Amino acid sequence: MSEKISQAMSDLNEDMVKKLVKAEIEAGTPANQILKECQKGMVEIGKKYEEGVYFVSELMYAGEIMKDITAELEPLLKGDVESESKLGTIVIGTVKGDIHDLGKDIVILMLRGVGFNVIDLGVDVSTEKFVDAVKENKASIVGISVFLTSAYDSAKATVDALEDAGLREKVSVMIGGGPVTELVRQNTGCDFYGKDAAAGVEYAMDIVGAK
Amino acid sequence: MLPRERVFAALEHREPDRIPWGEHSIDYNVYEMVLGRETLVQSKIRETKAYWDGRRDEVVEHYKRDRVDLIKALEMDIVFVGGVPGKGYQPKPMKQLDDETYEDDNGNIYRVSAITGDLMPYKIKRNPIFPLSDEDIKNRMESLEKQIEDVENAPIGDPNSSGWEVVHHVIKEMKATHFILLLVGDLGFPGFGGTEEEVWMSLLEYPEICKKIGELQGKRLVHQVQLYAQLGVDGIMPAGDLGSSTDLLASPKIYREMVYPWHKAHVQEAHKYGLKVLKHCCGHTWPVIDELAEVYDAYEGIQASGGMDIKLLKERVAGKLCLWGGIWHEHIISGSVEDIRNDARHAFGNAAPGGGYIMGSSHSLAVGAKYENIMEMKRCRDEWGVYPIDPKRFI
Repeated sequence: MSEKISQAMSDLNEDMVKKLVKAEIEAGTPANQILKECQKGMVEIGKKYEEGVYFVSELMYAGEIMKDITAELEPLLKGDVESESKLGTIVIGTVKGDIHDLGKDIVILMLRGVGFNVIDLGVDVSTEKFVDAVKENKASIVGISVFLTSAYDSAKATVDALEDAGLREKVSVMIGGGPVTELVRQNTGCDFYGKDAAAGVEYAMDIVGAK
Repeated sequence: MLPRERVFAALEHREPDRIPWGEHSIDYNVYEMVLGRETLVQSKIRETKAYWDGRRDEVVEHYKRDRVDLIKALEMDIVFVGGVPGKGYQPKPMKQLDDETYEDDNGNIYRVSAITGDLMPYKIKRNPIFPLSDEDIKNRMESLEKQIEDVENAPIGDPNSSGWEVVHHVIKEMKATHFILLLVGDLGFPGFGGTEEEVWMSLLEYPEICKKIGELQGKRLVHQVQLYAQLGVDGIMPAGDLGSSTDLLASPKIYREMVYPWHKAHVQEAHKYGLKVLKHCCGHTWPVIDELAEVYDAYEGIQASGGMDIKLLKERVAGKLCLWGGIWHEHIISGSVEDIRNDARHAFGNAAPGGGYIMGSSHSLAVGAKYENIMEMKRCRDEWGVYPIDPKRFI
């Protein structure tokens, strides 16, 4: 299959992406291969966001294109979208006391776009909810979103809760958000801090060996 | 110099006698730590509940008393003010679902933050409206055109209404000595839609509609300036954010086409009335900093953690844009007095010489701000902020 789909995706050429996907379906190309090409495009979109070529609008638009494509391919995938082409499961949420979600939603969009199964816990998430979600979904990565400086303690409490539940060694924990720095990562006990969404996606892909 | 003379000197890129200090937002905890008494000013759920209980007048009295007392206690130079709900304001309380959760009449759920005490939107019902049909687009454009035509004749409000009670009180008490700054509306990226995703996508999918929304909001901002002038304030602060912590929220091209012309018109109108315009714009704004420098008198919310290094800013905009900030918001909350000193050294050494600098936090004095760090800001300003400032002493 040519790289035209990933290129069209990367260019946010919605009409071309949908036209090419339709053509590949009619040509009998396996659905998971088509999905993989779209996901390659999402990786390129993430790079463009990191480089300052694309912004929030472009990411949201890319997310909508991926949703439409995924919905079209879902009936054709062996099994379902949850099991096909999934790199792993990530649990992500904004910590207790904080309701900011734009940054979290951007990284979720990109993670799903490249093939992760993402459990979005929402905002103001208690430590118990994080722990329960990791257990129920057998997540290998936890994403902690923090926007309020005064929410650092909630982030640390989340990592401590994972430790207390005997899960800390089973997961990689990444933290991101406006006021987060390397020092915050160290003080909260997280494994990685993402300066932006693209860095978080790259880390997650590295963890699962998908880079 | 009087505090207001200091601020004007800084705004006009002259050296004052010492670095002025101001903030655009101070939460209740700071008042309580410094003044030693409870307050309803910016007290989050407590303020909200006071309105629900019909105690609007009590809240306003706290604003009048405690804003003035705090500015004097900290020897700040700028007094920030805003409108308040009018007399008789008593909204229907939300339905309380549990200790921290409330529901409004539309079924939207709100939660009280365990950290800040804010009543925060938690689950808000949103319905997508895209894609728009050709008829939707046509109707929206016509409606916007009509609203634009009506702006000139729209009432601006009564400067003597009770909503301006705090402003009038502060002007009476402090205008002779201090710079009075009014927080006003602003224009951000003019997206629209039923969900947050649609609001951002609309800038790409329906740019003509977004441009018209920008024009409507921009013209309304310009139209309102005459009201602010009648209030008697010295300056206004539009506070629309353009950046996240890593980049602009939308492309510089969209900013230049849909937002910048109205920011410029807003400031030009304010200047006609002799008002200074000090723009709050936290986040990463490097891609449009030249436009901000061209238009505004001052730039506040200089987010160092978003890559906005005050040293580099001064090199870029010295003489054009007064820089207001320098002390990391994050350090005020979770840092030490040594962090505050380091921030002050960096800001004073690089941004203060020659004037054009006002000390402030990189965002606000918020819940969690440590008393000792706030007092260290004051100490640094008092001891190191006297002009002439030799940058070599901070190396």
